Amino acid sequence: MNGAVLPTARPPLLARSLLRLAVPAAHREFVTGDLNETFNELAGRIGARRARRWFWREALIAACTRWPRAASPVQAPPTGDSPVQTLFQDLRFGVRLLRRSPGFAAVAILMLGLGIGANTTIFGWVNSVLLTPIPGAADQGRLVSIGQTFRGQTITLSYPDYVEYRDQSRLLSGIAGRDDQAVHLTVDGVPERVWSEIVTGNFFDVLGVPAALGRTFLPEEDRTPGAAAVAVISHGLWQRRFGGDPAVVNREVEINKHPFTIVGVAPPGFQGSQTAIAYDIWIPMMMQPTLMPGGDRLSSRGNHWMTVFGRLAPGATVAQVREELEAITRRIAEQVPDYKGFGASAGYLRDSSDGAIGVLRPVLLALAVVAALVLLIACANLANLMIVRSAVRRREIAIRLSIGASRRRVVRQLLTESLLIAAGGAVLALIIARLTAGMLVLFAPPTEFTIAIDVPLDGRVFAFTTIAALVTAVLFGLMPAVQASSSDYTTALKEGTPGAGASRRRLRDALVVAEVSLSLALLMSAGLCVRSMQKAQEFDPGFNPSGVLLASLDLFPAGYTTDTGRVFFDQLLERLRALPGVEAVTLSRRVPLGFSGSSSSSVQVEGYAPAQGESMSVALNQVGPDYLRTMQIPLAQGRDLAPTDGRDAPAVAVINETMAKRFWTGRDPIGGRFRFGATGTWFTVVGVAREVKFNTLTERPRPFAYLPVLQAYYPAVAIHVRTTGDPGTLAPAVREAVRALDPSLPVYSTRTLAAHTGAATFQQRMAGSLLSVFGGLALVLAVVGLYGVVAFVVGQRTREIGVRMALGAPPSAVFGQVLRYGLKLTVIGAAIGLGVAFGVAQALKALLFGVEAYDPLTLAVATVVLGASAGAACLVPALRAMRVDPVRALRYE
Amino acid sequence: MTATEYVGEFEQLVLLALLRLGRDAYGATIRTEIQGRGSRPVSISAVYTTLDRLERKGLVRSRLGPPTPQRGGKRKRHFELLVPGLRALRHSHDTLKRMTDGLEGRLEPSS
Repeated sequence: MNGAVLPTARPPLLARSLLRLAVPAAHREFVTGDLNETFNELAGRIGARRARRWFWREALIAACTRWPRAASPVQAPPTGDSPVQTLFQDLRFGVRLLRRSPGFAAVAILMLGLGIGANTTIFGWVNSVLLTPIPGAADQGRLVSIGQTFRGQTITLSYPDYVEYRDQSRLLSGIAGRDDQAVHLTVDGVPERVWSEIVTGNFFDVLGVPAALGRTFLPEEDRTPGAAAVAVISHGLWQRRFGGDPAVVNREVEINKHPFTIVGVAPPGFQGSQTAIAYDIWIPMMMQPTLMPGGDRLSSRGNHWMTVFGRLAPGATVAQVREELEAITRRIAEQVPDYKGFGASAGYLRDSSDGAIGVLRPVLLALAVVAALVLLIACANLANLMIVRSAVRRREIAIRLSIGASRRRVVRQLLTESLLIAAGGAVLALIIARLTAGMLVLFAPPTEFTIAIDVPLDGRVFAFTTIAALVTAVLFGLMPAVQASSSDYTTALKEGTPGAGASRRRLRDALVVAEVSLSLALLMSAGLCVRSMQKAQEFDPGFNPSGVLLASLDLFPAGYTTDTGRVFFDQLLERLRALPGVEAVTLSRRVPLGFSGSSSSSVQVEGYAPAQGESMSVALNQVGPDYLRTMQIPLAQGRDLAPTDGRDAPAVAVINETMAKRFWTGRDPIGGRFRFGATGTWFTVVGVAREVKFNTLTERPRPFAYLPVLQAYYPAVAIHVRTTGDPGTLAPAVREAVRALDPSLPVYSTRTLAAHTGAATFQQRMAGSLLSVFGGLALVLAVVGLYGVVAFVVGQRTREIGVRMALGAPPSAVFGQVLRYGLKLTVIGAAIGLGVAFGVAQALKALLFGVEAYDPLTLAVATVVLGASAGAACLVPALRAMRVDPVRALRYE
Repeated sequence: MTATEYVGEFEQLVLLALLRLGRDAYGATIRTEIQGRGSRPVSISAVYTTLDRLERKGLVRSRLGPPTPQRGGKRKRHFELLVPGLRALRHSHDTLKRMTDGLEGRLEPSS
């Protein structure tokens, strides 16, 4: 495709660059011109080599010369416009130009809008989840989450430990504790199940959240257990249940059938201390024994149940706080022997690996990288468009330069146009971000909690978008502008001379290569995430999630005792088994692969002597009869739990294979016994179940025990109903069965097991879906870019092609040449892209499931897709080149 | 300008080149002229800084010419000797002549 260029000597490039840098603009043109002229003369007389040496010497002298700073008289600006006036002129001129080519403007703004929009959306999410983890709280950068460590694991705190930390810490200006609890709130006789946070009295003060109405908690409400029957409600609950009535303060309501007084309403926007979870009511810690099952936890040192966070005192660092808490923990250990080996942990809340922050951070960070790459591709594309455009505008620019406009002035004008396009893109980006902001919550799987992530388009998002637009304007506008203004414009004035093309085409080619390489990286990332998503969804968790309906209920707030609760469970199971279409029914305290976590406890196993320091921790779940049958967990040995394993029957348990192998090596586990702690009831093993993934799909097998809920009673359970048909259709019948037994007992969180276990594949689904969108976007942008460049080159070379065909070149040769040019760019881009792809894959590692970062299949597919798309993009211009009519092409001249 | 400007040696050379070149005086030709007749290497930077100084003194003036392809599309800056420039040149020439009067025998090369 290269046209023949006469081999004329040119002054050395580096020396020319040196001149450009060293000689002030006021003198540059004449000096360079004189040197060029003399160089040409010398090259003809004494040879190019010596002429170059001479040029270098002149450039060096020029670099050392003290040039007068003031512009010489002839260099005075053509008009006396102030910078602001020039800016307005530039803007007006830019708007006029863009309006004259609406197609270009639309394509440019659309491309940039999509690119910046993707980034704004992701930044909005990052802003909401990582930068503002607790909406409504003051100065969140100084909030620190606090825990204890034991055997390398971080654990929550007991209330007595919390009190010691709170009273002894000097480096935290406040420490607050909390846990959540579903409660039944009864207003005007109508019960409703809402999520509450049971919080220490200083909770709102530490967060820096004032009451919007009434007050928050008083110090005396944090002292005597049972003596603070007050509550603060959320703004949402206030609006929903009380119609926003200001008289709600001091109103009496019932919580779990106990009278409480509402003392305040939280400000709108504040939804509690846990990222992405919306709570409706806050109750003082002193009411814990009344509201939570399991009795009084306030005086129990060994019951670690509270999540604790604090606020850094002025000047304190997290490392100092950690040391201080370690010291306090050591002092506790001096009095409490069980605390040997305990430590303390402290870290910024925003760096937490728990909860929504922990789940979303890897996805959001990967998406941020990918979105930035999409924007880079869009920039490269736009830069190419600008180069093409400036080639078309060469005459205009040449005229402006020759009638006295300085090069800076022309560059500024061109940059102003880029800024205009970027501003349009930014507006479009904000519109896109507005539409996509709420999508984050859509990815969330069904949980018992109310998931709510407010994604506001606040000042930070605006600032981000503005900066992104400015940076992109410079990125895509500067190089083409500099190029356009530096071309030897005298030749441009002579219309039709194909001059100054080489460096511009090099830049264009480089941009396309960059686009192709980035889009291959993105395609590969998207492919990896999609494969991860598939693998995660196909993965066998050890049970069959399809065909099961879940419905939760909680007997504790409804006032059931252990005895009445057992009877209720018995009767409920009886009724549910009789429903038509039901294959199996059971109950379970915890449902695997949700966000609800798991419990574990230390066991003593009959006939097993643990080694010194060996962890005897066993994960456990309280389940109803027929649990394995309902979940379709294969039985390795023995039997499933049965309806006969009731309150008065001998205590039994089903364990998993890992537990059997670990504690009954070489023995028959069936008939073996174990108990929790040193004094608990002995449970006899009646069955061994195959492994199940309980918390995550990637977890390693660990000892697990299933205990009959009728024996190891727990009041809050999920009903599991397996059916042959669509499990969703059973929901009304299940609700009716509960209502028939107790009309006032709410049934909540009705969902299918398959939807519930979606939580386990949440990251993969989110990454897979969004990266597919971004990967597709990248591919389209790159293909459009490649097409544009190849088509443009063909258009420019029409005459050359015509000459060649007139001289007898067959159309197939022309076709092949164009195609080769496009594919050459693609191959170079793809080769570079492989390197980039491996880099990006590293950023995705945390999200990949069942796929290596260097998956050859994904790589092959991505390359083929890219290659095929690139081929298609080159095909059209190649066909057009082949059909060039030599006579017409030449007549144009 | 009533008083005659004093001009230095290199300034004199530049002014003399302008006088000699007439309408064709611009950076490259002035440099060639001085280098050719003065038979010493002259850098274009020195020529321009001197011309700028002379222009500020009001001895010469410059204007822009058209760009040419040999110059890579760059324009020329043409220089023209003004009356005060000519006067200054005459003054220094007179001074030199008066000072050298009668010394020709010793100043001319012997062979």
